[in-house]
Amino acid sequence: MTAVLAPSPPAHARAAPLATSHNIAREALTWAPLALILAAQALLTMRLSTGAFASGDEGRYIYAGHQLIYELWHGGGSPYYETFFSGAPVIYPVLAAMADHIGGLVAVRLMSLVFMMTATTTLFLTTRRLFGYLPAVVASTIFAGIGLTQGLGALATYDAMAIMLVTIAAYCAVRTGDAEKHAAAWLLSVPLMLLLANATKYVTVMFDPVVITLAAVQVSAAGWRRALKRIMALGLATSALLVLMLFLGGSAYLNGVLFSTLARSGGASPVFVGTVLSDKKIISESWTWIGLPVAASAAAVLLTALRRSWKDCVYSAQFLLAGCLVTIGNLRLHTDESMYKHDDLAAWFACIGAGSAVAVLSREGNRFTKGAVAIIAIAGAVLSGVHYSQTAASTYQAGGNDTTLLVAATLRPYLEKPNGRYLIGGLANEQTIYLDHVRVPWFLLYDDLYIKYPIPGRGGDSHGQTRGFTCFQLRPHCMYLEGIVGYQAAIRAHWFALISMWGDHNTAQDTEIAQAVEHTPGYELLTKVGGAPTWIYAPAYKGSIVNSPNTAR
Amino acid sequence: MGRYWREFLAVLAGVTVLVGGCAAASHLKVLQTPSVPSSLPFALPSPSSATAFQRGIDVDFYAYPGQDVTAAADVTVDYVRSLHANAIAISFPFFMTSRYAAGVHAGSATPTPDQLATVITEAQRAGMKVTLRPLLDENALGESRVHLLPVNMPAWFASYQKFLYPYLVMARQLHVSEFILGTELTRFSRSNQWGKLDTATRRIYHGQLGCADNWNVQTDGCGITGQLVDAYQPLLPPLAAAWTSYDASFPRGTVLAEVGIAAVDDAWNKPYLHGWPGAALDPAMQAQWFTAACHAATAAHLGGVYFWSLGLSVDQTGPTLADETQWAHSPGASAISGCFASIEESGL
Repeated sequence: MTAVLAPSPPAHARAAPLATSHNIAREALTWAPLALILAAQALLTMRLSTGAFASGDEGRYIYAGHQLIYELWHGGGSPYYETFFSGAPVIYPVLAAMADHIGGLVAVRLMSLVFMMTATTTLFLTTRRLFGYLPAVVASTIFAGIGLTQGLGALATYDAMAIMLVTIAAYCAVRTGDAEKHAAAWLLSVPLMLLLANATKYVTVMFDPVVITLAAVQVSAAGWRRALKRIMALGLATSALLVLMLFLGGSAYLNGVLFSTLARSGGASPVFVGTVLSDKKIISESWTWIGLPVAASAAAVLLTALRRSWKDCVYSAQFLLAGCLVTIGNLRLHTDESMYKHDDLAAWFACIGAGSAVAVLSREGNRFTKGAVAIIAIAGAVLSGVHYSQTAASTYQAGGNDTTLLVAATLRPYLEKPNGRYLIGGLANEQTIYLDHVRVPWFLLYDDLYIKYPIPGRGGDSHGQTRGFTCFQLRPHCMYLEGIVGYQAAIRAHWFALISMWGDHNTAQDTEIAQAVEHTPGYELLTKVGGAPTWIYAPAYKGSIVNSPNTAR
Repeated sequence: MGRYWREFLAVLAGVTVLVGGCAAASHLKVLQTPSVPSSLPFALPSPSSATAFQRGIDVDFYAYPGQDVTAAADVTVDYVRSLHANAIAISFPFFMTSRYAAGVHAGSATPTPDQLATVITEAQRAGMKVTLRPLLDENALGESRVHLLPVNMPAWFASYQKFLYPYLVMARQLHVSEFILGTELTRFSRSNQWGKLDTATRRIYHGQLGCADNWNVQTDGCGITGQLVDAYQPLLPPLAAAWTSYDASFPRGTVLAEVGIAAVDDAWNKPYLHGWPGAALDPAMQAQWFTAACHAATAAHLGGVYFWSLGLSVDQTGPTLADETQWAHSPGASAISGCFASIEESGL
């Protein structure tokens, strides 16, 4: 049986004649569906974004970007975001802070929207090259309609940028066939784009093999040995670049990659606060979010298998596997932490698989049958969009209960004390500072997860610039204290002007911090707004004039 | 110019237009995200406010369609704060179809947990201790709730537990300080069914549980130790002495959960009576009652006093012939404010 999906010879787009004045209008018309899809995607995305204040992650990354830019210009020690961020802080957060400077949170979110629309465009282009025009329209319609796609396009986090970069790498990969004019340039672009994607968000490394395999399949017609060689070459090039970058980044980056991604602990971790979930629940959630494209991908595998087109079957299976990668990863961790962000990238590949199913169905039969397949496929894709768009709000992270804004309003006058140090609950500290637009530099802002308290009289500083021993117990040679002992010492020394357990972390360390505050004279309960206590060290505020343009009620 | 340069310039122009367009769009009003509301004025908390005398106001929250709860909460809490109060008790109604009904249920006037959460959050934001009080509406009973004896006790408690569940969950989430499990259910406040309800409640809500008696303290009412009193015992003038004597009968630390009286002549005879048809308004008498109750409570080292009541409304009114028990913006309010201010200054 003739292979209908295998990428060689080049599909529809490559066979298209060069544009002339005669067919410019027709060419423009072929782009109209994509323009329509992108417009719908933009509208559905912005529907989520307007009315939603910054989420914890958004606040954190934009705040971090501002701190890094400040550090770049003025020095003053490093906040070492690279040790715990799940992407290189010098890429997206800095870009986000620049956009924030220009147009605030709306501009940063618009940037995400552009990234996600680019991902839809690359999906269209990739699927068109592989399977033709109709599968491309169907695939990009399904992807644009997925709630996760809309949610990430309305969220100022690195996910949208990382997804875009992986999809560009995938697009580069499908242009590496022997018939391509600049195959070598496209081939070189693959590891570079993957490097950028992986650096933007480390977890995207999970999709590197998928992209590399995609590039290898482009030359599979020349024999599997050649494909294997390409896998080896691209794999080595990408790995070498990643290792080189990691080496240049230093041990802090290595720690960050291990901590946030590779050696990430499961749902029981106090840092990743997701609860331990059953396999059934994880699969069910994934199904709810991206079930349709994955099912369509599976259908493509089944169809090609039934037709005994094994080469096509393997090709489709690749997209099915990519569509399930994130779910499999989360099953290993027993948590759904961040799964809704990563699943969208899986969905991108699954949508190509869905497109391939349409390609299989529409390549046989008469004109009428083909027309019916086209109508049913497009209608199905639109209905999928209608369905999934309704689920978008359930996974959208930003906005929510007005309590967050009330807490920010309550704390604001107390966060404007010059050189005051503040400890705010772990999931909300940067968010509160960002929402309040108060200028609190990183070395005056603490959370309930990590402290490096400089023991008075031992030469340490709150910037951590002076190097010295860091201990979990007070010992003669220690310069800094970490862990609950550090918090207790800091609280007893009235190191913090304000301590708020707002942030909903509820860790054992939180309980111990609260107990330390309650047993330290001088700290007074300011409020329990949001259901969490906030104390201030009243003497620190006495005599200080706290001016705020926003304090008038 | 070569083809590649043209393509490069086209891409560059496209990116520039995109960036410029996004930058311009980001300033559109329609796209703006909600901003943080204005803050309360900077104020230092008074020391040890957690154990302070409860200078409380009762808020009686009956919901109705179209009610702007956020605005009403804003106005009401602001007004409570202006009275130098540091605590607020929010009563909300639940219903029985008749005194013979098997169980209780929420009615259209029962606020939802979300509506209550709005008020609670506003009060917590103002730094107040918050108490929640589900209160059995008397209209369908045909008698005072203090005389009620459910015909089917297990069924009544089962329905009450079901009714309470979402409110207890909300109270736990918002860390509400105290939840009054039973108010003025005097005839069956010693029922052994309370024990089961308490156990079920404590599995959900971890704050302080209370039981409010009428007139006098009964030990172990509602099966729990946190007893409060709705202080409606008739007292004869001179009121200061009468209140001092009345309060002396309570254990130290007891909280007067309701102190209220109609602003009419001789209401001290029946402070529990709400309707006084034909009686002349006497706001001064109401003010004297409040002042005496407030000062006596501090002298007797009680845990606090709550004045009954303000409705949850954007319009807080004083006593009228239609409702003589109101006191906002009247001499009664001045009496409360004056007493609370003096307690606040004394650092109690």
